[in-house]
Amino acid sequence: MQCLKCGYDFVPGQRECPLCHEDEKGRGGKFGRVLSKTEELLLVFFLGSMVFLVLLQIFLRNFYHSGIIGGDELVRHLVLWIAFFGAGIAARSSSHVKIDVLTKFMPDGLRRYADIAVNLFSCLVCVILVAASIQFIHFEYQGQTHSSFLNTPLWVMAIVLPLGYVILSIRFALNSLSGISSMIQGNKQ
Amino acid sequence: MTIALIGLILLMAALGAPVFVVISAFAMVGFYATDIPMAALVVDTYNKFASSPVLYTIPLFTFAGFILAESRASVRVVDFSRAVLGWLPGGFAIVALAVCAFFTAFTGASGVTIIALGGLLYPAMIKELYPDKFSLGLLTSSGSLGLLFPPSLPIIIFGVISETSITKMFAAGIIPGILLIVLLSIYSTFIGVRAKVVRERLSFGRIIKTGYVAKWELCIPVIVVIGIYGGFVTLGEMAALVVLYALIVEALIHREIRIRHLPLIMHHSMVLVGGILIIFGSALTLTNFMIDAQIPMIMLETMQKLVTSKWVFLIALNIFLLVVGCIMDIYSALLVVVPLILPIALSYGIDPVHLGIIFLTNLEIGYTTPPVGMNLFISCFRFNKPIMTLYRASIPFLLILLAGLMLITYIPWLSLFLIDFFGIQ
Amino acid sequence: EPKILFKLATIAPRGSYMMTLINEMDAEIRKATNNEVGIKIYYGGVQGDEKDVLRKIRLGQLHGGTFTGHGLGQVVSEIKVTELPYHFRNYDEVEYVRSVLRPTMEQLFEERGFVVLGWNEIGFVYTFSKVPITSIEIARQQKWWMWEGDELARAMFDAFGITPVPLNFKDVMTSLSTRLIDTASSTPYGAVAMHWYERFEYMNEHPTTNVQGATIVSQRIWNRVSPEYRQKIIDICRPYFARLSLHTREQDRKSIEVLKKAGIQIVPFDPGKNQERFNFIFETSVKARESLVGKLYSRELLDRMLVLREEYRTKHPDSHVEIIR
Ligand code: NA
Ligand code: NA
Repeated sequence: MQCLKCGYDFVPGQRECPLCHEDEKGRGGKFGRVLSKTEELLLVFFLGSMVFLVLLQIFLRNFYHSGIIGGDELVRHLVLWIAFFGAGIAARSSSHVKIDVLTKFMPDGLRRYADIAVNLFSCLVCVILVAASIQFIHFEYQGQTHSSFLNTPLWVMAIVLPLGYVILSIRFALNSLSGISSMIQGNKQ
Repeated sequence: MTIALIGLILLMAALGAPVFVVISAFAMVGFYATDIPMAALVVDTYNKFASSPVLYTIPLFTFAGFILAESRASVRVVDFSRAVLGWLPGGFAIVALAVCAFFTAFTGASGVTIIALGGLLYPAMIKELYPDKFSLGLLTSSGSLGLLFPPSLPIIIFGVISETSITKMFAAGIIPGILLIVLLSIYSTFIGVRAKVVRERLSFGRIIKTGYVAKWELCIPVIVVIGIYGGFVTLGEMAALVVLYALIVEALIHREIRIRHLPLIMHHSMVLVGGILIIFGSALTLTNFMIDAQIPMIMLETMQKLVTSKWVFLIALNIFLLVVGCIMDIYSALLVVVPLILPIALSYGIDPVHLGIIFLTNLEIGYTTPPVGMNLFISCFRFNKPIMTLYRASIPFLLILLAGLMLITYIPWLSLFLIDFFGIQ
Repeated sequence: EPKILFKLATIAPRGSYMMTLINEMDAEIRKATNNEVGIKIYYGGVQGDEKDVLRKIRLGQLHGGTFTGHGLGQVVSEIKVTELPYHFRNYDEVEYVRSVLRPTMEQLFEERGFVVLGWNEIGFVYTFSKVPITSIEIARQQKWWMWEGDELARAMFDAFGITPVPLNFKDVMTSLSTRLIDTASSTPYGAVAMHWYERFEYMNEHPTTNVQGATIVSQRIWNRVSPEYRQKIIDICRPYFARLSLHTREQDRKSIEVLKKAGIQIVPFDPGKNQERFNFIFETSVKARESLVGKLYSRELLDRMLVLREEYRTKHPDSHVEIIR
């Protein structure tokens, strides 16, 4: 199959593109790798459940004129979970959409400083968003709102907001740390 | 203080901070000046995602598109289109345009089309004696061609933000989308004749043979259109059925996708979806601030004083979007700008569907405008060419797309004809 | 600019009669409180659906809103007792019951952190559909819109054996286009104002229920208002909302004519001819009502409501049902 990130054609037996593989796993040593694996598994689980649920709903509606109570709500929340876990993985290899007009024309040395600054800035913004979403979850918890899917409290289904921003903050922090450490190593040599 | 913060955010944006971070940071500055608690930064992200009945079609359609991109579906579709169109002067270029549009309609202008099809189409074009620069320019601009066709992801997102009927939007995009392909095809024919490219003989036998091989994939657009407009299934059900269909065709019939590869395909497609939806989420945050500060209303009042004619407004809008498209990622810009512009456009009597098509055409163009156009960078990486070459290669295509934009903007009929004719709701 | 600005939100569209009234009311309040209190209101659901607005009130971005029974029921679920489907025949009957229960409801709102500025009536809602719904089997085959989070509606649909599609108010129009739903309940005015009627062909003549509305403000901001002005503000607001209710009834009557002219056919439902079905519907609504005791309202409150309704019915033995002909 063909790698959709770089176009490299790799042997069908392999599970990942050998060119993008290292980059894909992101930075941060063992912790980073465990986090990556968990994220990937969960992401696959969320999309798989979404496909399954929607197909099941079609089946139930057309053959039994019924459906899963709260199934619609669950599917909509799954979009939120997919969005945040997908975005978390995109942060690993710095593949988020950006407007980097300046860096494209910068010398390499300067660009490394810029990278560290940008990752620290992104980390800071995400940390503020973590605080904001914890506050949001707190209000939702107080409001005692429930989904009709198994009467699950909505704050549980919305917990992906703080969780997602925590993952993003960690990724940006790891990216800036690895940027700093590689620069120190570069200076030593 | 506020000005210093805005300056810092702009600097970080220019240095390459992710767009969702930049937009969220602006919303933070906005809310910082008010006494509103910070939970307001995420409340609308949650509200919209948890209530939108169509947003979940985006991961589903994209997943289906990636299944197709990963299999050898592109080879089959190219072979068939070549049999049908290859005899025209510039025929293979037209094939490339049509096939790219087909794939981009599913994967969004994410660059996946360029990555997945570039390796197949670029060498073939060179082999058929198309000029190098022309081939590069064509494949780069084709990477976003198809945004106007159903079930394109930006159309769905526009429908969600503007609360416009998505079935209407899908129908509205078809004629303008074909118009752009036709304009580019005319140019390709001109180049093809001048470069004396290889022309193939028209053979009905080959059309039938290649058509038979590609039959399952060729059915997909038919299924989508009949499903949506025939009234059998809802949009969401359609999306799930397309996933199921693509899986059956590529994994069971053609056996090109192995079950063990599915997690990787899911992962790749959902990283793309996540990257887009998180920008959407941050745009909702910024919109929440703007609505709270009643900025759309203020803008509406000022615009009504300044601009009196609908046509002048449309010129101003296009110039604005083209400038934005040059300096930044226009997709994110749209997410922020649509809520502001929509009430103004409505007050000038512009159909929201037509407005949507104008936005999407600008979006399509923005992907290839220098200096910042995502497709330019992706082609640069995929074909291993210097960015300056791609800037130059894409200029003729940009000019043609601009002409198309003018037609689409000033002839609303192009966008509204199918809706009126078939009475689509 | 007033010292205290009540930031309210509503799903009612800009340019509606309510906007004119609220503007007048705001001016009067500013004058009476020496510009201490003013009202700023976001129309057209720009701040989101009613439950989204409640969420924004909870976190303090907004201070209140003009809600329908749907949003009100998420704060004080007991309010649903005066919105029970197939329980009220006409405007006077439901108004009689509500007016007696109002102080109790206001007390409950106060306990949950809100002050009621004024009550208004949204009106009787009717079922709109693409096919004439003349039997329970046909009803079960339709895709019904249910306002997401409406426990009372959920119980009703459950009792009838219908699986509804839960959606926000603002997603109804586009979902009618994508065929996610094909049946919805609305007041005649709502169906016209929201252009929903363009997607329907039939309308049942018998109303399902009567929806009420109210404008509420959170105690958090209310307590900042000088005590001497509080009663004054309420006294200013109440008559405006009473006027709004009367005007809404008038608009509903006019809208029915618009609907008929637009080709909406009215599906007759004559209890005399369809006695069995009629009984089934009413028995089912009683079943749904009973299933909600202890969840939305207490047995005590329900009984009190039923006693009040009987009181009215004995006094007015010839009272009619608000059907459309
Ligand atoms: Na693409
Ligand atoms: Na651009």
